[in-house]
Amino acid sequence: MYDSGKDKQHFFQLLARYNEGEASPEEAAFVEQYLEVLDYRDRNVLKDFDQQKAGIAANIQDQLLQSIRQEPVVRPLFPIRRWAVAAAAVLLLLTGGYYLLRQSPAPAPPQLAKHTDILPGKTGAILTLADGSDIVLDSSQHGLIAMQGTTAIQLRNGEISYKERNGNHSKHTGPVAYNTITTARGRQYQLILPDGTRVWLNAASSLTYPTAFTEKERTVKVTGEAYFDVAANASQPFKVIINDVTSIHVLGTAFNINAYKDEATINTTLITGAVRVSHQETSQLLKPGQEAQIGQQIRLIKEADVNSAVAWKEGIFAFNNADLQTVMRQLARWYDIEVSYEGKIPTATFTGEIDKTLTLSQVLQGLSATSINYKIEGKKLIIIQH
Amino acid sequence: MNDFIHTDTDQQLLSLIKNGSETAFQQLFQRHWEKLYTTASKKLGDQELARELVHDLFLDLWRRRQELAIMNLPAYLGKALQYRIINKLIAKKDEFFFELLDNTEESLYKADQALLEKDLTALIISWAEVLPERRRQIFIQYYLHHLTTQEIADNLQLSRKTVQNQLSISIQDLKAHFGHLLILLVLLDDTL
Repeated sequence: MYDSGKDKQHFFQLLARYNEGEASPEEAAFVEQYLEVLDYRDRNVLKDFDQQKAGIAANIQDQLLQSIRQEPVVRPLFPIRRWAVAAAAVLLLLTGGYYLLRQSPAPAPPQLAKHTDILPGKTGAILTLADGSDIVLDSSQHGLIAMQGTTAIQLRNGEISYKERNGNHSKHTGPVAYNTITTARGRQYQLILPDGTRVWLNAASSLTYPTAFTEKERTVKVTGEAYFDVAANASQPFKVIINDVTSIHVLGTAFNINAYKDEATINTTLITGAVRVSHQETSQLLKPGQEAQIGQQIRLIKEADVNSAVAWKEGIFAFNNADLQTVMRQLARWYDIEVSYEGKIPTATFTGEIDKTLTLSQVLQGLSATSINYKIEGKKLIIIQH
Repeated sequence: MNDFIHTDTDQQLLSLIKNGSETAFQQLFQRHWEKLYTTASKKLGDQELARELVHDLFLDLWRRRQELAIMNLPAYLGKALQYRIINKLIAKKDEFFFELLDNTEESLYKADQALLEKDLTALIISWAEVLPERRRQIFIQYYLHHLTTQEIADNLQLSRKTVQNQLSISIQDLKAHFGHLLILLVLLDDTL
């Protein structure tokens, strides 16, 4: 079968470019042709439409009236499984006085912001090999990119993975090499470790790991933010060392670590399984749905906001009563901007979701509809409070 | 009153809506929803998504009634709908296009779907045109694998050997189903 992974990426990027008004004439022709052909996908979809028509119209109209009368609408945050569907929606609610609700931006003239706008981050990272050499990982490469001893590093659909290539043996021989993946601001990356563990690395983060797990424990080091989906292996526990001082012991589980230096605490949020978080002399066992906030001590949050913690991995910023600075720290890392404040820092709090594929100006349009004023100077975003 | 509004133009309705008239908004909805709904249903293959999309589209129109300056409402709605359909396709990673490519030999060419065949061929050609150079070659090769070298040779009036050499594919690999895609080869062979 034809391997169309890269073409798929290209296809969706092309659709997005078309919507942004940045497609070339050839690309636009393709998208428009595709939209025509889409009509053939399911001839039965409107089979009983004529009988149901009146009911459908009444139903949508009722919903619409409800929606417009209920302004301001506070939509519940989507549960995780719906996020893929909701990714196009932008929703930022400012509680206390102001609110804002934006669906995907209207088909406004897209060229308007073209030159001055700051684009969202994308997939990409730098791989540092054991000998210190760097390889830039972007979506353009494919196949074998390097050998580390008998371990082959492969890139497929923009995702890196490790495979033993030791003749007929799948066991690693020779010394173990350490690799580091680093994401800059405005980049994120996803990889598969030699044991099958999946790691999503958020912007401005790093992960150091051996190219083969030969020790009693599978140990990796992380800075910044990462989501782990650890491959179960009871005889070889998984261990994450955070910022060189905190560690997490894992058996087989999925969890998020947010350890940015500019955040007040290191937050470990457990999705499934069980982990033990150790910091200095103390340690804390986490159950699914719980979060450990590690400052001087470990603070246990029994009912954590799991959705907001892992939203970044699903292509969304999600906030739940977050203050402006918390929102801005996330925007700064993804849009690679510097945020500063002129005057008092506004005290508003935000609840809602923002699609990470939006440009900065699209996100900020939302803010300007509230009492937040700002200006942009190059890569600097200045929040102004009069 | 209703009768009066009924005869209003879109423009008149829009200016009433600007002033907050729910009745005008409902009239506007009644007038335009069906086309938007059926279009979205067909293109997304899902009435539930279409319902959500039409709701959101009109809600957005209401919310931004003060700032919008719409000259031609049907054109605006059509464009807004298209925008939202594309966003939905991206958001749900809709891979119908690739299913289409994978299944060309089965369902689509069996029945007499002359129109679709023409559309699909045009679509495949324009897809090949927007792929980066190397991906284009791989893509075209993939499609050529479905042709027998003999068919290609006949159509291009080349020797079979030449075709085989050019395409570097073995006869065993080839299937006989894809005669109708020869047009693709003819149009694209200069890229090989």
